[in-house]
Amino acid sequence: MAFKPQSQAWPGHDAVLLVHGIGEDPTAPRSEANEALRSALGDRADSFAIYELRYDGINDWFAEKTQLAGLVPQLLGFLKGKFGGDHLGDTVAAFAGDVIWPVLSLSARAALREAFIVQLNKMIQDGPHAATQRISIVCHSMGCFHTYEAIHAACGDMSNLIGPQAGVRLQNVIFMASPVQLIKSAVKELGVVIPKRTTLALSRSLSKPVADLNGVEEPYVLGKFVSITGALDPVGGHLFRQKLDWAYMAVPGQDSLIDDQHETNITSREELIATLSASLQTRERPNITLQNPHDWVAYIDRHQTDLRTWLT
Amino acid sequence: MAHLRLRTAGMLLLLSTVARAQSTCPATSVPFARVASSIQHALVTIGVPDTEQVRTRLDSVRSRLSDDFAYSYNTIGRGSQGTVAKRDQNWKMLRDAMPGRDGVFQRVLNRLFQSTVQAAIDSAGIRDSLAPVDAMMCIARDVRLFEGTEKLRRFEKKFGPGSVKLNGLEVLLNYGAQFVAWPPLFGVNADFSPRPWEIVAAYRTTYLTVEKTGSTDTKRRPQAVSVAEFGLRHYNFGKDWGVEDAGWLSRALKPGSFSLGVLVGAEANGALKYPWSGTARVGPYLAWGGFKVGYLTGHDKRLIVSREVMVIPYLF
Repeated sequence: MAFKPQSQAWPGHDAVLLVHGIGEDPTAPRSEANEALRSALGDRADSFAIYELRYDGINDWFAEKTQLAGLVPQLLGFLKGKFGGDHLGDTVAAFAGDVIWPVLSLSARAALREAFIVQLNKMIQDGPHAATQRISIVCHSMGCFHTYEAIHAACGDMSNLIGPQAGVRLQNVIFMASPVQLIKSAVKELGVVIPKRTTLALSRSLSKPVADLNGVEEPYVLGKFVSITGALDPVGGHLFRQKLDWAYMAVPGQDSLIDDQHETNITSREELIATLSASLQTRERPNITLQNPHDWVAYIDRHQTDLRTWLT
Repeated sequence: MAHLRLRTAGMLLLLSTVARAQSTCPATSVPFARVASSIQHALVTIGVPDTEQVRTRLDSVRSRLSDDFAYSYNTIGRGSQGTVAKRDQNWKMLRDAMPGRDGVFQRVLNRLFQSTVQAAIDSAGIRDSLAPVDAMMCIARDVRLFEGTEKLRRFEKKFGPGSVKLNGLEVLLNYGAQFVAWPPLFGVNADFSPRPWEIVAAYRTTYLTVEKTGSTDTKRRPQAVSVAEFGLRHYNFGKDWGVEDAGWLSRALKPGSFSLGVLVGAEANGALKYPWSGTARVGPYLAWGGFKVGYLTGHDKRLIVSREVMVIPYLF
């Protein structure tokens, strides 16, 4: 299906672009992350235009035409070695390989980058005025890679018209479970296997995007540049609470938050007692569930107060 | 300059016959002269010291344009006709004068968009005087959106559900072709738009020919022929090509792709034969959309036909 950027009238001067990870593109008009963000914004939600970059269809083109994900034994080998080489490590490596194979295809990178630029242009076009409107980006997982590449392309290529050279600035960029450093390490390891790797922004030292306006360096992001990940989230650079320097995104000047995650919804001795007691009283199964450390909605829910503070 | 005036006159003449694309821009046309004077006025009002340098740059840009050049949405409407846009001089002039493309003009805009200048403009309360710049940026953004959606349409044509699926060998060859700088056939262009070619290296066991199967047989019967195909496939990026819901005749005459190259066929006809078994037969082939025709030479010359089909996806 042809990519069509979302377009909507802005109720005010604020907009957010949600950039999801692979496989998180919902069939519903609004994703769960969208609903979670609206909940975080509370009574201010109605003054925001919330967009979603729906790019899974583009990913599917390349996945179905080329099956390229299956041709990356070197990539998987590198990742398996880094993640420990045991069964869990292999599983994690396979997942990571699934999300980062697009870097091997110039066309996939170009198409996904173009979709991002088109969507951002459409947002700017929809808004009341480029000079006064406030646009923030909240991204998750592979969406963080696309965001990182796009915001650097905004400053590096002025013909995209989404950067300071076109009078556009972003208010905040919030990365959640970002694999940017993981991909950077893989790109470095794979070396010449990555086509035109110097065109990847992350092939250079990680940095906040800035634009050169006649010799004056101007930041693209005026407000918060935040990286949030979880202590149990391997995509964001942690394996069982151990930070993996080769996988954890550390952009100089970023605000870094690492969530204290738990394998289940029980986070303390007291909670366990309460849950078991309730189960005895109601004679129902105790409500103990496994937690997905990579779940986007969970990240948004844990940072409701932060998001409301940053975005408003 | 006379030829520029002629082109502009031609553009204006065409306006009445051009279908207008949809736009949410406040103005569908804004003369460059108005854009330039509004920038100049704003910078003088807030007292930036290099207004003379800005004026010189604007004059330099103005000298390359026709006297009445305007950023015009109607030119985008004409440009939406696919390949016509490439040859349309007015479209090219518009594109080349766009923010981000003209280096001299961009330096003027860089000055205008510096945060200190923008803050001074707001403090002076003269934001509204830059309405011509806003109108120009809106039109420029419409042009960028048009180009971007066109690029994505081409990516979809080459990689989307209607494109030919690649087998493992083709994936490897086309992956490697990304690294080939010359000839510039594969991968993407400098502007990140897709190039139309891809490598074909496939085993096909679905070609057909007709042959008498026995010495007493008087009739020719269809027989399968197994071949290896080596060639290049070209995706037709024109908007009228490969339209899935077009009529059968249109799809037949204007398919989404064509390919051509060399066939290597087995010594004997038959399905699932190894192409290099015995004395191989070699010849050219042409695929026009889903229809294929080839000619095998050698000891058993014959015409063979087929359709573009994979018996086992991603294999052959």
